[in-house]
Amino acid sequence: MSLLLSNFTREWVVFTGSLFFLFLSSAWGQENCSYSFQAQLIDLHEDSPLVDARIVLLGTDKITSSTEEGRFQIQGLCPGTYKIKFSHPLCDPQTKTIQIPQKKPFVFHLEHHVNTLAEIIVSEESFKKIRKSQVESGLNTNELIRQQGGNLATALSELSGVNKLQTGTGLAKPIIHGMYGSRVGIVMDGVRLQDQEWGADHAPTLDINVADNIKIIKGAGVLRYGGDTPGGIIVLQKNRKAFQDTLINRIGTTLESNGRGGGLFAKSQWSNGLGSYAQFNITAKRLGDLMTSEDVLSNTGLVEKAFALTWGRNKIQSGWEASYRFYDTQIGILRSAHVGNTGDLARAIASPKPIIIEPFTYSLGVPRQENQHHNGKLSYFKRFHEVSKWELNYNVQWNHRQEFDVRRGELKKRPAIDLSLWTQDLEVFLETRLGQNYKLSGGLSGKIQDNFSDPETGVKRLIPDHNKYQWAAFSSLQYAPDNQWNIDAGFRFEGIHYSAQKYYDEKDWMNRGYAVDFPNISIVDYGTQLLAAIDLNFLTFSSSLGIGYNWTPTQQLLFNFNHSERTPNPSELFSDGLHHALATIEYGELRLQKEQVNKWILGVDSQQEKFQYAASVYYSDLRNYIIIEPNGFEQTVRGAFPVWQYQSVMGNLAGMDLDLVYSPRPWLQYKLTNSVIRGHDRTRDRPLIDIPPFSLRQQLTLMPLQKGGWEISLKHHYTAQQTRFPDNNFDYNRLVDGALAATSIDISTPPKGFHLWEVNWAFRIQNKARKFWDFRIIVDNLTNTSYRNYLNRLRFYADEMGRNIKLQVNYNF
Amino acid sequence: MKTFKYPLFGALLAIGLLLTQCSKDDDTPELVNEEEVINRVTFDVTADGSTTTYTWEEGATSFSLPLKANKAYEVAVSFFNATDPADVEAINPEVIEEADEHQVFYENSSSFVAIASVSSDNKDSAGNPLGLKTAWTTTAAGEAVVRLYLIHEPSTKSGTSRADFGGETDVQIDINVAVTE
Repeated sequence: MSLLLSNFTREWVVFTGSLFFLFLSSAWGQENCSYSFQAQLIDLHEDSPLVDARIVLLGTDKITSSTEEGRFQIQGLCPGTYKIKFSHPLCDPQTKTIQIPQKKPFVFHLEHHVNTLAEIIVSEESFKKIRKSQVESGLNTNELIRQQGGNLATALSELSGVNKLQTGTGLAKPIIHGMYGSRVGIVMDGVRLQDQEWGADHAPTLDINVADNIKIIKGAGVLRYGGDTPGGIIVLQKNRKAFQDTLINRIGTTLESNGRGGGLFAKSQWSNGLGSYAQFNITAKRLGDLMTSEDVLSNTGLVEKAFALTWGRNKIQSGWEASYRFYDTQIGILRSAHVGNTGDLARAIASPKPIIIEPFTYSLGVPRQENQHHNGKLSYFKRFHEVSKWELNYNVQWNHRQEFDVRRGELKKRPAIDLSLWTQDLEVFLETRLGQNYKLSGGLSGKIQDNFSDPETGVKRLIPDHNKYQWAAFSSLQYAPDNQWNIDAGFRFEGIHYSAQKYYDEKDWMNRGYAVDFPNISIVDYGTQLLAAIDLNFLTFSSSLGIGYNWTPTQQLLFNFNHSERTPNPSELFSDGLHHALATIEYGELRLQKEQVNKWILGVDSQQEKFQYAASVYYSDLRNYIIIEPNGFEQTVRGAFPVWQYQSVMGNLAGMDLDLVYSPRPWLQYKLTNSVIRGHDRTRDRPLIDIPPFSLRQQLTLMPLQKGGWEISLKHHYTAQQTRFPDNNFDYNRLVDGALAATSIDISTPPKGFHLWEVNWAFRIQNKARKFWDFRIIVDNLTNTSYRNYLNRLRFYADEMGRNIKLQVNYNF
Repeated sequence: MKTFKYPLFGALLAIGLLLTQCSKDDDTPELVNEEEVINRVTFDVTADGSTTTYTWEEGATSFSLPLKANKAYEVAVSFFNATDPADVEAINPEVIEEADEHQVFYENSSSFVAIASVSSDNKDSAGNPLGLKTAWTTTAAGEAVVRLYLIHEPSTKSGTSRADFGGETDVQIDINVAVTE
């Protein structure tokens, strides 16, 4: 087999080589000197773009360098044969021959070997993972430096189709194509983050400063990480380590006027010529109370500490990596947003200002969240038969989350929620090339999760103690017959077993009909409460198909179909408790079935030098889509509380994303991103809740930052009022002249639309390739506009943040 | 490569086994009796030296307090956590201990019942009556709803409407006061 394959590879090199020359000699000549040549440089082993390579067209004065995507373009060429020279900091210069006019897209593959670092293989190679068949968007290193000190959701909401769901200002999670929480996966270093993402008042527990780039995969290609993410997967990656003695360090700080604090960030990347590498990150951040345009948002401070260490060795043929990440945050939640009952909620909604405004402070009171996340990973890979590779990945995560509430007496110091989630994950992954046109990959994985809810809280558990066992088998096949077509298809089988032990109120167990529907659940009676041992099994099958077609070297048409199946999460199945921010009682539902989403995406992508755009439309058909909706009232000592119940509906989501960049001059750039989305609940024929309203972002940049110099940009962000929303209003009885009078409490109507402006001034002094000083002044909400955001669950209590002036200094050395 | 491969797998296996051993699968979770819940409220209504006790239990949708016209009553309100029937916990001592953070308020817009503070009431550090004991005076027959609040962390201790106090509502009960001749 090995002999066969390697022979095959050799033959194929000869074959494609001759095709290449055939193509050159048959090139079609014309005396018009307005041709351009475009190509992309890819690292053969990592399939990643080669950034900052220098490209010289010999015999002309044309010099350029490759972009973040490894692309370059040379214009104003006459027909003929040219010699083109590539050089890269990690390689010796190499020269190849090209023919103008260019008829097909070119991808040059560069290979780094431990022994011969400078070897370059240039071929009109057909197999490129980078040649995409799926709609992707992302943030590169430069954009991430600008987001330094921010959180993941805020950084990503720069992209079209991405919004954030907030609980106040400190807690934010990304919404992709109208979906969030368990429907959006977050993958860092190839590992899916396991951090109780099922709650809405939660933020991903990771430090974005560890990542060098972030990508959102909305279509296929996510099956390795899960079949349950119809929203998409957010992939955070570190840069590929160079095979040479390098030490890159960055220290930076961001100071913020709003919150009167800031952060310190340090990063160090080391590698040597033997393939060994290490990376170290440290983040420390502190903010005090934030401000709206007028008032202090009491108890909205933040303390964040993070630390990450990676150590590994890549020897091309094999390699290993060990990493550990630690993340710790304490986040204050607006004091005014803690309400005792619906009457308090009604008063808060009626008040134009937060009910509690205290002087600015750095100290965090209640309510607040404290989260710690530990993440350890060991991985090993080995290549064999030249075209195949297997990987073994082991990952362990511990997530600890405590919520401190407004409590009485001795209980003040005790958290009201105290959850620990252990996850262990083992994966075997295999990848092989079958001939030059096919790439087959697949794997098996097993996961064990243990959730423990500390009874010391003295509060009924929101999420019960449970174990979750999960196995998965996945595979995908990529087919790229030429440089124009790329097709991939894949599937994932997953089995999930929940084993939970949960206390129910005896009345509740009967009223909800569980006693009848689940006769096999064993019950231990404790008087008013009973302990149910619940075992649930789910089997899911997810699949995807992606087709990419390049009709010109720079223009691409993309189609994706995904069928995803998601098991209800612990919150949807088991949650049971009072929600103090919305004065609601939330109940899970044991009878929920797996959720199924069919999603179609059609996209077009064009990367011309002056004008680049990506547009896509999508439609999702939702079956058993799990949402939480009001369902009656419960009488308590605090009055009548609305009960919100998880339930499943049929529905659909459809939308459109547009990104465009127009650079008429080298010193001028205009960017526009825009997204529209509609969500509909077919079961009750009404709009879905929490769907992002229309939004438009525009940015005008003078002197886009290259190697050095200055840049100034002005951003405008418009968010319309959401006009499609479900009516969840309810009646509250006021006392009028000794009698009860019902008044409607409006918790449904979205706030008005708003315009925000941002200015960004950057200055960079660069003396060597990797040595630079970077200064930035960013003014968010320049006009100090007062506004409220539909996607903020605390919108009833206070305005959003007012003006924020940020000063950033970074030193790379 | 061999030098790395085996220690790596060894470490991996060891960690895997260790963690599986730690898992708490078979432990029965401890029963949680909510510690700060108020689910019973009693009213001790004293007139002419005799006291009648009226009890409101969680889940009750209406609660009636029958009174006679043209009479003076002293009403003492008590809060309890009766989650565990064998160990009913009185909340009043906690309210009195944290007097500055609590306030009892009756929202009353009827014309025939007057509710006033009494000197025997518990007071906070600033001398404000807590409202645990109040004097009710009836002037005519009629029916009205009086709303009882126990307010946690009020922004001020005096007011004529619920909104004046700020803070959060820990208890809110509607009392159907029926005054007969």
